[in-house]
Amino acid sequence: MSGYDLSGLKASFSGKRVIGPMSLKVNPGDKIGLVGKSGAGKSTLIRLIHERVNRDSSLIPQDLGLVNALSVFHNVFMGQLDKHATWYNTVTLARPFAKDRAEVNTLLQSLGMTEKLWTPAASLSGGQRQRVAIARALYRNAAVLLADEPVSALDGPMANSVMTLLRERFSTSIIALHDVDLALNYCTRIVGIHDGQVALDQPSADLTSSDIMSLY
Amino acid sequence: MFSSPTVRTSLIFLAIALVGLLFADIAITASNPWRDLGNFFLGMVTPNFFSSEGLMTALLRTVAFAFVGVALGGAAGFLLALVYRSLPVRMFCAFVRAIHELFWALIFLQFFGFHPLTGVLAIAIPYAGIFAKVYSEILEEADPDPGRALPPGTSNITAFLYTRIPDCWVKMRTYTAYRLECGLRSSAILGFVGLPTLGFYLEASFSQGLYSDAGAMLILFYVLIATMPLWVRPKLLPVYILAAPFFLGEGLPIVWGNVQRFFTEDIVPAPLRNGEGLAGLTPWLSDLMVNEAMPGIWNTIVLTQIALVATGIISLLAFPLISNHFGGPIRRNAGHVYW
Repeated sequence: MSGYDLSGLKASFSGKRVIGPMSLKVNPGDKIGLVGKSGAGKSTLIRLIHERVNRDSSLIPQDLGLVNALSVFHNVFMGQLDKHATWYNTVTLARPFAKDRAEVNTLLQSLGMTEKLWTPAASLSGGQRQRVAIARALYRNAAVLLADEPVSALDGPMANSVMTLLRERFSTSIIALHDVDLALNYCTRIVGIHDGQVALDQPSADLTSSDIMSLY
Repeated sequence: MFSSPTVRTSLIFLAIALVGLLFADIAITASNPWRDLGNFFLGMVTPNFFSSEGLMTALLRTVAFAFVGVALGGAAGFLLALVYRSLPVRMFCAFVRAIHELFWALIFLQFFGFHPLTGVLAIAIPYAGIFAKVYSEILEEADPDPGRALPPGTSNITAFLYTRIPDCWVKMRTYTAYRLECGLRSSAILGFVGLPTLGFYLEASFSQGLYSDAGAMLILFYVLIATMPLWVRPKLLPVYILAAPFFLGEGLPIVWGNVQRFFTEDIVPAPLRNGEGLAGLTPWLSDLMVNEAMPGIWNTIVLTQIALVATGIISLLAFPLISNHFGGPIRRNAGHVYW
């Protein structure tokens, strides 16, 4: 992977400019933490980047995008729908193949929710739903992770173990986080967004949480 | 109270219905209506289940026509729902569902005669139009978020099966079950124009004054519909749908000459058929308009307005019978008798 030179990123809602125009260079191996107060445009930026890098990315959107009526297995399996033929996906809908079942099960084990494999997403708690979306992104196994507040509904220890997992599994990632300490601990580079512009872009090693707080 | 738009609209409808009553063609033509009504209720309480061996066959045919018609209508309606965004498709569906099952049956009787196809198509065609509309609305309401989270490059069919269908499944199933119930009623009614369903025997018993026989049929039909949750099971549905075509009966064979005659002669306006050309068409059409179509449309509108308000009043009065706010489960279940 050769990194991305994302330029001319911009977005408006009903005539009001929300993001940009701005540029962001993503180097291979970068683990970027997007910080900034709510409404600064972090989610919009994640969506814009997703549109650009498209196929290469694993996405965890803020709304999670789970299908409530489908089981945890199927929601996770959706991460690889583009890798199989339509007939394979259709058969899986009714009767999943043993190989896929085992793979998804292992993945869920690392997130501590194997016993929920066949539970419909609708009857999960908020934190469990978030972990299903994370499992889907892991299962997709793309080069870049794009995540929008992926651990907002998880308690402290679980949030930390999930962030560790994401750091291990994705060499490059862009994660929007409102928790400054998580961003400093798990990202190598912090990008602060203020009023739709890059207000801060530094290696996290050079920053303390008070440096970031000035954005809020 | 009168300032509320709901109240005002309701009062306007009530006024229209009351004025309509003055003009409506609702004369009672029976010589002794109260005796007839009395006989009818007497028949209901003294049902005769063993009058005709045709009764069970009629019941079976009623169910068979409903299943085949609703299944075909549902399948066609689902396919149409997928392309419902196209204006011609929407217009086509609006057209086919605007015509009642009974009308379709009368049209098909003209050329297929008493062949099972007449009854099946009479249900399937208008139902396809209704299914298309409702299914497409249900599919529209599906949550769009999962679709956006799908990996780019997912095939359209896969995306549809994973993000739309699961989200809509319950609603579509509930609606289809409801339409099946409607289909059973439609199927029974089709007997009135001569198809071998319950309506045929009902009509025959009524016209001969055999009210106990008619009462038995109405009771059986009620039991059939009331017990639907017991015998219409998801696991059994494929069995019913596959078996139903074999229980439609033989009917009478299609006379293809009739089919040809319908399209080349019967359906052609009389002046054109008699060679009067377009000059003869205008007076014929205006005569038809003034003497038949307009009075018919007028009467339809007047009766519809009255019926609408009457339905509203009955619903308001009967609502406590079925609502959670009034009475316990027993009274509410009893309320379902009227549905």
